[in-house]
Amino acid sequence: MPQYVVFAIDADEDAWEAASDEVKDQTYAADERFGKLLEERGAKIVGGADLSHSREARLLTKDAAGGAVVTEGPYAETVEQVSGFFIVEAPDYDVVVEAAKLMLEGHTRLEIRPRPVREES
Amino acid sequence: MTAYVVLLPGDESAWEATPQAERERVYAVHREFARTLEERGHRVTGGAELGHSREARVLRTDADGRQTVTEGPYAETVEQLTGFYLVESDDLDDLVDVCRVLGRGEGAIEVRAATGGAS
Repeated sequence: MPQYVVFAIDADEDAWEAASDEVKDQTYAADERFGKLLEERGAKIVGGADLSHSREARLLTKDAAGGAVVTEGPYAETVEQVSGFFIVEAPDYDVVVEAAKLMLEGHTRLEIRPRPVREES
Repeated sequence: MTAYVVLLPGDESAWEATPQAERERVYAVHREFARTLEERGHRVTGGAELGHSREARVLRTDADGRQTVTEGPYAETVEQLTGFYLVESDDLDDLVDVCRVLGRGEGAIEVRAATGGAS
């Protein structure tokens, strides 16, 4: 069955950190409804993770000589950051899109990307 | 153990145009990365290579509450997320050090702690 990755993109990480448990629970409940609708449509979540604040990120890039340079902070200095993702197995793209609509209640945007079909190495 | 995500932003169009032999070299770098992680006590618990961002669909809610679905990625940048690993580790500094192996095949690598743990 094809796999898709659903990224939750949130406009304000600081607001999320400061949010009350009640607000966070609303987001988690929307995420759960997403999982439930997927299951009703023959799809399922096979993996995923919540990410911490992007200020905790470390970035590796190359200097001119090809050596690794390690810096703190995310690679994209934007207000919107990826806050988490799900890996989903689903019969088709539309099933994932329809279920993901339920998560808009808790997230600014969602980006869905298919996984390329390639033999696992 | 803490769960970390290793994010791989890169130039997708360059990758699409990359000949097979060079791709094999990059995949070999990834296998070496996974092997080195295991040798040094880290554990890969998941991950995915992503399809080209032109295949992406983005959902958002407008100011009037209407939901829209568009094609293409949310960020219109040359560098797009091309894949990621989920890794469990007790030692972030050593994890970052092992990521230097990946630097032989990837332009930039972002390491972030996962908050809820891998599910």
